[in-house]
Amino acid sequence: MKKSLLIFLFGIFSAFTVFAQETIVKGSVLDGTTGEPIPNVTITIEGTTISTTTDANGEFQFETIVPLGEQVLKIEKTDYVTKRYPIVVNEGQTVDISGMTLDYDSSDKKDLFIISISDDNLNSEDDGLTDNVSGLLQSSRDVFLSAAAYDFSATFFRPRGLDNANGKVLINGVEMNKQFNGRPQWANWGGLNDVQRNQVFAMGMSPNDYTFGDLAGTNNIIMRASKYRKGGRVSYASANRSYTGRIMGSYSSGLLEDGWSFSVLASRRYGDEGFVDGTLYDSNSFFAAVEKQINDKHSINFTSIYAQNRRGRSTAITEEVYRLKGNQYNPFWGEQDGEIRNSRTRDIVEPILMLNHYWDISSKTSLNTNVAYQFGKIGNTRIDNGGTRQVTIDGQTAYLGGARNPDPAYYQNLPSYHLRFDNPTAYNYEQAYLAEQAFRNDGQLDWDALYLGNAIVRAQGGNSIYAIQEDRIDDKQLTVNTILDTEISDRIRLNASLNYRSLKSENFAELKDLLGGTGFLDVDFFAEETDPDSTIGLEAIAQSDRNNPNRIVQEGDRYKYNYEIDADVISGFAQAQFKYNKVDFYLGANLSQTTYQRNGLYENGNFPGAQSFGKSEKLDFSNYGVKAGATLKITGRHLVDVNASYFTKAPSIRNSFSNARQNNNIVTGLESEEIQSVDVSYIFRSPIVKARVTGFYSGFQNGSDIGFYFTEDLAGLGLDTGDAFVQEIMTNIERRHIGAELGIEAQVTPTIKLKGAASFGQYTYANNPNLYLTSDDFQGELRFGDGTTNLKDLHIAGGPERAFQLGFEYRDPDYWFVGATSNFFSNAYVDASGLRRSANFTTSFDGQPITDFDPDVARELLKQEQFDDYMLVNLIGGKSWKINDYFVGFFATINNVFNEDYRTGGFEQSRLATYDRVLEDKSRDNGEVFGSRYFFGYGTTYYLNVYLRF
Amino acid sequence: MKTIKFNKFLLLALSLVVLNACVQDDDFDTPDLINANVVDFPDEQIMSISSILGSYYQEGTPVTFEFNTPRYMEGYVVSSDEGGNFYKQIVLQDAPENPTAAIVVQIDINPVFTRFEFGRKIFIKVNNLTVAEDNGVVQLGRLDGEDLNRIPSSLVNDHVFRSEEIATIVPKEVSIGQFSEALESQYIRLTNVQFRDDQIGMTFASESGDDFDGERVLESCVGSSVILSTSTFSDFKALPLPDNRGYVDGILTRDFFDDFYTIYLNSPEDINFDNPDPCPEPLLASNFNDATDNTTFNFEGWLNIAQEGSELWTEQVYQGNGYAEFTAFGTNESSNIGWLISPPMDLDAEDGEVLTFQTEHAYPDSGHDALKVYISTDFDGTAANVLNATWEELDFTSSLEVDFEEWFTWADSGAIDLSSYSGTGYIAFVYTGSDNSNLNTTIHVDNVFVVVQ
Repeated sequence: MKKSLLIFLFGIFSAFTVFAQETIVKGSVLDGTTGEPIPNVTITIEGTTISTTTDANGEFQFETIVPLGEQVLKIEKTDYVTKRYPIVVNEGQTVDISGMTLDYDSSDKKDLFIISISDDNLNSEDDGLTDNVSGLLQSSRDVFLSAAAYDFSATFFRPRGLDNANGKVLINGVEMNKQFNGRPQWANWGGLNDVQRNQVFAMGMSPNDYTFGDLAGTNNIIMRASKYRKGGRVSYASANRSYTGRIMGSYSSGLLEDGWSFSVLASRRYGDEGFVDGTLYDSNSFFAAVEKQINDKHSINFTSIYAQNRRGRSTAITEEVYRLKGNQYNPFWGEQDGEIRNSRTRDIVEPILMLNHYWDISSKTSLNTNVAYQFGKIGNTRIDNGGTRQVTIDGQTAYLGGARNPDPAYYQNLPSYHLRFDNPTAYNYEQAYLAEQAFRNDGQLDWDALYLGNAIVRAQGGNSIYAIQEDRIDDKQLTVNTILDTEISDRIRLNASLNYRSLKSENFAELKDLLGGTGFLDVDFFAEETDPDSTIGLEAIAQSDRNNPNRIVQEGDRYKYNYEIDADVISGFAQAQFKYNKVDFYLGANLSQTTYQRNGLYENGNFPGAQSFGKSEKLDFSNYGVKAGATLKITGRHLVDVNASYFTKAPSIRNSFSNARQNNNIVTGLESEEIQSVDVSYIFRSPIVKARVTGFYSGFQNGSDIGFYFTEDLAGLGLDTGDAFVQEIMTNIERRHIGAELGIEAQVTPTIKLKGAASFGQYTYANNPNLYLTSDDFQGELRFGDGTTNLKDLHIAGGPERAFQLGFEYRDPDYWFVGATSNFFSNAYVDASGLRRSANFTTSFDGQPITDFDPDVARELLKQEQFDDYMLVNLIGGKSWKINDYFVGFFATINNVFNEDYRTGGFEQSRLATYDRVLEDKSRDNGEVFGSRYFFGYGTTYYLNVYLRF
Repeated sequence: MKTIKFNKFLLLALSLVVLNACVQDDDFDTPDLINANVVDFPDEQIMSISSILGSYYQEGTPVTFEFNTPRYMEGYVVSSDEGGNFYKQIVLQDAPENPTAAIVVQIDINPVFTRFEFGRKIFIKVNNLTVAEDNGVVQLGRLDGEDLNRIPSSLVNDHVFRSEEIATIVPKEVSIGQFSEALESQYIRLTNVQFRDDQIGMTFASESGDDFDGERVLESCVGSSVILSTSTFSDFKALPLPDNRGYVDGILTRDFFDDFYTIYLNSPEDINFDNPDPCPEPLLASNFNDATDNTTFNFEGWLNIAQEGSELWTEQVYQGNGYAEFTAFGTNESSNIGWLISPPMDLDAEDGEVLTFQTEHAYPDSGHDALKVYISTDFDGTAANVLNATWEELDFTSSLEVDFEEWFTWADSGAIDLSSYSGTGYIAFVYTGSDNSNLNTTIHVDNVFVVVQ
């Protein structure tokens, strides 16, 4: 503080003493502790968009016209604590503020996001409920977005109700979002915290230099060897959320005299289980980058990332299971040999290699060209309990075997199942009691039972009944892009890019473990002849691949399904930014062409010939977007910011093929999603208070979504034929996201900062989307009534719509700090079943309307559940020391200090989906058998990080 | 300076490897469990299936076992739910071969075959379990009010134990006519059977009328028939019934409503129909099912003659089954000889004629071998000439030999070779007895067949 005051005085002094014809503002920035000059520091004149950066000697000079009078310089660089310097600019004079210092930000707050956000993303079920955009936001300096990133994320709060797929993540300007679902795969660069501190975040649709962007913002992680400060870092972290330990070491050379620079990192994260039982963590990450500055104009960088991550997964559970086992319960694991074994692990290894060329064509124009290649695999394991053996008599085949779902939380293992009757008998109560005791005392997967079953069948000459199946996505993606940045004039800057992405994605199931058996018969145990006129026969229908019928597969073999997806995207983007004294504005546009094609490598029994084998129709989407925005500078303290956009977006691969594992079918009525968005912000900045309030609106049309589930209740198919494993395809989804968000921060004393954040939104369906089902259990597409589902005005599931935060931070000059936030959440809703809200609900098995239908009761049954409000209190604190040339420090957080029990999300099961059956289930005295499933938040957790920097 | 930092980094990298905190990988060893947790119990704690059945038969109402010390019923598993044809039950019999008793154990686990496999000897701790009749057969389970219900899944470990023994189960060869309560739940073999003509082309259990079970008629070459039942939840419900003829292994039980005997298969592989020839037209096929209860025997083509006394053979019907009866009881005559003579057969048309029939008895008198069976090739078919013809006695197994004490239990005669005879043949069943000398055993004859093999 003293130092900055000196500089302030010095700055004013300089301003008065130096005289020249031109008005010049220049200076230099040094590291507050080492005294070394810091390059690439951004200096901005607040309230304007005038900015410059320091050179290799830490010096800067504004080359554009600087407004006269009292101004505030904002000096910022990633990893450093931002500073603000008041200056006075007089016409014709030079302001020279040399020797400003920036202090290295030792709080390491950024480490938090990896543990609190991306780890949760890793654990998610691909259901869209637990995916979170917060990972995007951690580099933002916006008060509201910081709150969202650090404190709201634990509960799957989504800023503006947006999904991960609405945000873009780039590494060195190369888009990293997966084409499969549009979402970034955080695990691909997890554990690399030390080398991911250089991030540029553009909020919402506001302009960024690389891409058109998306609603939730664009985050470019700069991983160039030359951009790292010289030095190394070793750290150890201990936590009880996802991993229990992390060790990390990194070293960067900085820019060496011969123009080379390099950076390396290795880290390991591990844990037998996190907060949720049985969620093992086993991750190793390596990073190496090398860059050669060839000359003043050319630099070539090579970055390689290898981040391997194996996680034990957990799942949503019903209210009943939660009551019996609590929020740490996970049915996926069981003990084997005294060790925890999780049946559902996710193993991700998708190394990234990229070559980046940076060409400063002139002082005003630069061209960045990148080639990136990513390859590897994502594997998700599960137990396959459909093992059979082939029995042939008279030339006709049957498949004997198969076993019930070994899930310990299977509904038939729970008390509610035994008490489902109107008047339970003593025997029923006994069974319920015994089931409860058994579930409470154990309730975990019985691996030995699976091994025993296989051993027995093996002794009789049969194949494995149980096996471990790994669902694999093996992607190979090549990306080439080139990004132009040019200042056409002092006031006009042009950005443009051209991108080409080509993906070959192999999707298949691999037999991972025979669990003691000798082989697994690759047929569909559940296959049934559905078409009475069919002459195909059960044997053919049951085949995964008709071209290799009745194949007995071994560990490492592909089975069940096997197909490739080719996806190519060509896109172009251009954007112009204009800067004037009172207003800045921008215009941007993009164009893209996306093609998808499935190539079936198996001829599925239910879908003979070209229905499943060979190439599908080629999907082709042409998309475009326009955006514009302006910042009005009423004064330096009061700004109004407006962004508006309209764009269309190709559906993801996941939502394009209705059941890619079995056939070439394309979603009927599939269209590009249309999005309109506008937001208006008022920004207030004074030396003490920073505040932003934003109103936003986003409209989405022609959305599509596919869900997979088992249901017992398909109407109109006849008695006892309503059971099916279905694909639920929803199209023409219209959504409306509307709301306001507020962030405010006050530096009430030099050491105490108060902060507040609030989000108040409403995210609802704006129409009744189209819904149809497909399945191999019935023919064709099944529609109900007018083919829609009554979702209009229901809330879109995905975290609380309202969130409020109050907090403070105390930062002692003696290099320690503490902070606390209190966070309140409300208005989170369950994911509503589409099938229950279609005409299926009111139709009985014979296709006639259900008799005894009471609309008032129905309304009550279909009322969307709203979760309880809750409050989470989080603490943070840390301290650092300088010992000779070393910096040593620690920081720690405690989240949910008061161990609040809360739900972060949930979904209705569509297993029961007609009025009478839902009514029956919800009316049971002893609880629903097929109640909604919920995700529960963590109790009190901690995170502690100690580090040594040199 | 730079090299020092490099060294530090190398040191760090090394320590990362050394410190490599271990997380269980996904390579788990395969545990050897096939005979894990097997037990044996001392003889004094063992109860036979017969004694369990006996407890029920004695009371006629459900019996709950309330011993103070553990008691274990032992038995061999003869059912398998691998094919989905059994659901939450284990069928046990008391021996791998020639069992004398069998029982159903209701158990709330699914699947069963991956725990208690076919052939495994297991023990059921009967304490607090109940034996009762359910769907017509005796079962062991848990009392639920008045009814029997399954052993709850979480109690299975306390009640069901695996022994080390896995026996080879030899199906008990029986004929349809022998079906009786004593055979219920046993693993049996029916030979020389085929699906009835009108059943061919149907599936086991996925015809439109099949509700819960598909019921298909199996018939033997000797004219008797039985229902083969298959669950509509079985894995082989959609298989077409095999044609041809051969043997079937399965579990004998009663249908759900306890109306008739039926057979359940463990697997369609238990049908071995490899004889493509249809059952030859029998030379004689009389199951007497058109009998009228308590009337004088007068089936067309048969002769009913009293050689001594006045008593004739009569027609009888019991539980829908018709048969011929002769008894000297109540005749008050000092000698009764009754002839029952079959219609004529052409013994020249084919080779390899075989006679089979069944007998049962009641009120046996020691030393009274009442029935003899004869063949004649010179009989002219007229009642007057019966005693003028040459009658050659045929050896057969009578129910009196099989089990003198067991009443009303059909016994197979065994296959009686008639291939050495030619011409026109007649079979005669001759009862010899006396009411006065207390040689008045009751004899029943049924299912008289002469077939060409």
